This record gives sequence, C-alpha cells and structure tokens, in this order.
Amino acid sequence: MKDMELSKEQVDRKRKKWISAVLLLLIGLLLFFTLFSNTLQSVTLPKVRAEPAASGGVTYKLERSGVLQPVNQADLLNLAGWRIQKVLVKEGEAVKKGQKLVLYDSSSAERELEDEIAQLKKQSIALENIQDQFKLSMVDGDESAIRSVRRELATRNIDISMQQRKIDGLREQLNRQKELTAPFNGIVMKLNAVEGLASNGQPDIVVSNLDLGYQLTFVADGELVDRFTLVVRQPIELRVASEEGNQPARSLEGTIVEITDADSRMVDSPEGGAGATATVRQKQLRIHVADADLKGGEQVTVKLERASSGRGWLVPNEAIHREGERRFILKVEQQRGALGNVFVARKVLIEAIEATEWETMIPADRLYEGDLIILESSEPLQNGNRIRLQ
Amino acid sequence: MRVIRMIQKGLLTALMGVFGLLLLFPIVITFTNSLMTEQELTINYGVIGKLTEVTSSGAETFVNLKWLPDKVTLEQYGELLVYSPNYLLLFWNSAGLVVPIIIGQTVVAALAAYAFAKLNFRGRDSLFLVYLLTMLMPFQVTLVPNYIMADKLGLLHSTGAVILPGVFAAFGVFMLRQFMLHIPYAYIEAAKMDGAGHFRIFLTIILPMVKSGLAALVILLFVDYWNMVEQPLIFINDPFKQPLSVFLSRLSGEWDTVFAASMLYMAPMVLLFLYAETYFIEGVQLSGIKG
Repeated sequence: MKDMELSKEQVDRKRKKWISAVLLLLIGLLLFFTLFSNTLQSVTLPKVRAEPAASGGVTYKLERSGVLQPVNQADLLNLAGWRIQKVLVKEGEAVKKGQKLVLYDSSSAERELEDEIAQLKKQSIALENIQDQFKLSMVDGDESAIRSVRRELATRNIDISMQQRKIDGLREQLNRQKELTAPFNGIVMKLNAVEGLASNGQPDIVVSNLDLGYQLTFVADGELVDRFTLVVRQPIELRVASEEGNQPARSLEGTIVEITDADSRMVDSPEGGAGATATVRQKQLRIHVADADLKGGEQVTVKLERASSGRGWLVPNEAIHREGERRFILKVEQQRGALGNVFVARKVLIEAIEATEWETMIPADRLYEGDLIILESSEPLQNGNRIRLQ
Repeated sequence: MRVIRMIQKGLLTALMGVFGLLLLFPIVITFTNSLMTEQELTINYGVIGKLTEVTSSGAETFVNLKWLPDKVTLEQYGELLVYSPNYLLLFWNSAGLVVPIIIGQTVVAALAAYAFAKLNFRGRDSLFLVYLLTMLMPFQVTLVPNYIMADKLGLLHSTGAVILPGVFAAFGVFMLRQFMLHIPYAYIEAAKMDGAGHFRIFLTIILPMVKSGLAALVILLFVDYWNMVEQPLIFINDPFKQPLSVFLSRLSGEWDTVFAASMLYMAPMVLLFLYAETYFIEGVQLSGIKG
C-alpha cells in the first residue's frame, strides 16, 4: 500500500515536471515572438516604397537642345596640292565675298610656266628657220620642196598656237589656285590649313553662308509634337546658352521649316516586365534661325511647356503595371483588424487620360485623398498581399 | 445479479463516454481547425457573419463543420505569432491582469479567511454574511457602483479598475474559510501554548494545511479572470490594453487566426489545470464547492 502510494507520488512528480516544462516552453515561445515578431516580419513581408498620389493635371514638356548648324556652307580646297604659304584668316572670323583667305606657294607652277614660255620662244625661232627655207624654195622653184616646206610651216604654226594655249591655261590656273577667296559673305567655320604644309585631302577652309542663316534639327516623340500642335512655318522660341557663362542666355526666334517622320524609338515598357519593349513614334523637326549675331555652333535649347486641360490623379509611370490589355496600379490599403491595422496591396484598375514621359493622369474617382501608391516593392506583389511600408 | 450489475456498469461507462466526448468535442474541433489553411476555413465557415445576406437571398447555407484539415499547416500560428504582434501584446495584457489579481486575492483571502475562521471578534459572523452577500450578487449588479467608484478613484481606463475589485473579491475568502474551518482548533491552541503569535500560526500551521485549497483557488481564479470579458470591456477603453478574452469575443470573420488564437488562449489554462489537477480535485472535494 505504501509502495503504491510512493510510486504514485513519483509518477505525479514526473508528470508535473513535464507539464511545467511545457508551460515554460509556451511562455518562452510567446515571449520570444513578442520580442522578435517585428524582426521576423521585416524579414518575410515584401518591403514597398509608396508615395501619396498628387492631384492635378499633367504638364507636357518638350526640352531639346542641339548645336546650330549653318544652312549652307562651302568646303574650299586646293586641288593642286600646293604648299600653303600664308593663312590670312582665323577660325570664326567673318569674311566678305571675294576676300582672300589662303595664299599658296605657286613657285613650281611659275617655273613650269616660264619653261613653257621658253619653249614657245624656241618654237618661234624654229618657225623663222622654216620661213627662211620657204623663201629659198620659192626662189629655186622646186615644186615638191615648196609643198614640203609649206606643210612644215603649217605644222609649226599649229604647235605654236597649242603652246600658246598651254601657257594661257597655266597662267590662268596659277592665278586661280595661288589663293583661296571667300565665295560669299560668311564665317570661317573650320580651318584645316597649316602654313608650310600641303593640304591633307580635307578642305582647307569651310566657310558658312551667312546670308542663308542657321538651323537646328532634333527628334521628339510624335505624340508630343502633336500635343503642342507644332506645324511648319510656326515661330518657335530658342534660347542660346551663354558660352562662358558670363553672358546672360539670349532668346532667339526661329521658324519650323520641316517636320518629318523619324525612326521609332524602342523603349522598355515598364508595364510588360523584363524584356518587353514598346515603339514610340518619333518626328524630326528642323528649325531655321536667322540672326546677324550668330556664328554657328552655338548650343541652343528649345523648351516648350503646356498644362493639360483635365485634372485627375498624377501617378508616376513606374507605378503602372500591365496585365494583358488592362493597366493597374497598386495602392496601399489599411485593413482594420481586431489586432491593429494591417497594410495590404490593393489593385486599382486605371485608364490613362493623359500621359507624359514620366507621369500619367488617371481619373479622379480612382483614388481617395491621401492614398499611397506603391512605386517599388522588394518582391512582385499581388492583389491582397500584405506589405510593409518602408 | 452479477450480470445486471455488469450491464449497469457498462451502460454507465458508455453514457459517461458519450458525455466525455461531447465535452471534448469543441476543444478537438478547435485544435484540428487551427491546423487548417485560411482558404479552407473561409470555405467552411465563411457563411458566419453573413447570415443576414443568406437569409435575405433565401438560400439555405450551413456551416460545414469539419474534423480534419485537408492540408495540415501551421500558417495560422505563424500569422498570429509573427504577423500579429498585437495578439501577443494582448496575451501579456491578460497575464498582466490575471497574475496580480490571483496573487492579491490569494494573499488577502488567506488572511481574511484566517480571521473569519479562527479569530473570535464581535460581529464576525454578521460581517461574513455581508461578505457572502457581495459574492452572491451577480457582477452586473455591482457594475455601476464599481464604475462610479473607479471613476472617483481616478482608476477608470486603467488596469487598476479591473485588478482592485478582483483582489478584494469575496470568493477567495469564502472558499479558504471553508477549508480553515476543517482544521481543528487544537492545532492553534498547541501552537499558542508554545508561544507562537497569530502570524506565525497562520504561516507555519494554517497555510501548509490549506495548500490544496490554495491551489484550487488559484485555478478557479485563473479560469474566472482569464475569461472575464465585461470588466475589461467596460473599464478599459483602449483596445490595445484590453486582455485576450475581449479580443477573442470580438473575433468574427477573421478566419485566418481565430482557431489558433483560441488554442493559444486555452493553453495556459489547460496546462495550469493539469499541473495542479490533484490539488484541485482534492480542494474542491474538501471545501464542498463545485467550480
């Protein structure tokens, strides 16, 4: 009886040990999760970056810059390949029509000319000999000799006139090629000529035509061009960046002279996921500027801004996702639970009213004031996923 | 004669088995369902809370009570322990209310019971009667006076408004007095003869003798106050200071955690009972009180 009681007590004690161990384990577990659940959460929940949606309208911006190019320019080069004797102008210098630009060393050509003149003289002397012979033959009265000398005489005359023409040609070439002159009023755009060296195949001088003005060409998205209703012959404002920064930027009036289709641009479509691309229609615009102070090569900027008429929520394009044909954004939804609030990603289907390169305007009824839009997340999100706000 | 007795015994066993199963049924269901996925729970119980819709549409839909989960998962526990830090906060809130009440009431009740059982003073029995009356009154009756008192004491919306009435409740006094009445007065006399004071008698003679009573009291108090809903609901208005019991009573439609939350809620109680089971049964038998 006593043994039984003893063993019963032992069993009871063992049981209690077990239960107290389980109880302690439970308390420890709960304590652990109380302290570390936030840490565990941060490890497992997708982290998102969200921003409140802005209300308003989109502003279309077209900003392009480029370098002004002369409409017409002439490459002046010396075909003779003579050595350059003197360069009379500097790059960027304004020149008048007919102004001498480069002088060439023509001594070799001059020597050649003198040789040819000497040759002519020799031929003239030889002709005199033939004429004397002719006179003698006439006196002799030998018919065949006379005919022979007459033919000789004619040949010599032809030779002399050929030589004369050759000399004239040389002289003209000499006059023409010993210097370069400006073909029109303009500005020296480029100066390749170096004194003492022959031309290296490139034009020695490039002169722009000042009378015809300058032009700027750039490519812009077709949609944007349409949006600004840009048409040919429309005036457009350009700003010239100051060269050294000490002069204030100057504005110029230009005119659109040409709008042509350009190659479409391929862009990564942010909606379609990795590798997806979309084509964007593009147009090339040519703008003509006439201004006496321009030298060519100036950096100019075209800046157009226009606010859209409608109003709605502005959503950054990076926040827009695509699912088939439908587009949607994910917003942060606060779910009230008995255990406090929980943040969940909620899908909002949208249709864009108007869009620019970086933001899209969606109808005002899609979001409420203060709604957070998810821009970025550490993992791909689905509708209803729990998230952690960064 | 023997056969009849055997049949009787068999019948009784069967009947008790059936009742035992009936009592266990909710706990078993809670446990198995705590291992289900959220989807499965929503399919089975989603109709709860939407009953008005169901009746208005005319279609009859019933809760699909399911024993075994299609897929066993600890998802619910994970959701609760990792993603709902507030649940654990409420758990500690419960503990923060229950532990001071149990300690306080046990100490106060033991001292008071000693006085009521073993000391002779004038008006003792009438005072005890008054004590008993407060115990006999339902909680709802004393609610308004309690509320006004807590307000006057500046305890409203703090845990003190729940803890203090708990500490000075009459139940513990009554129960421990019953225990102490069973202790023969001779023990105390003998101690007195040896020169022990009241406090020494109380600590070294009376307390060890009512150990099982104390254990029973602790369990009964734990069950009672762990499960209290009205007091914290009324006295504490910040939902994050309220205990788990209030939260569970509000859980509806949140199928993702409700069963796991119940399991975790039950666990301390069950473990405490198992631990002190022998004392408890002994204590209840001795005092003649049924929980």
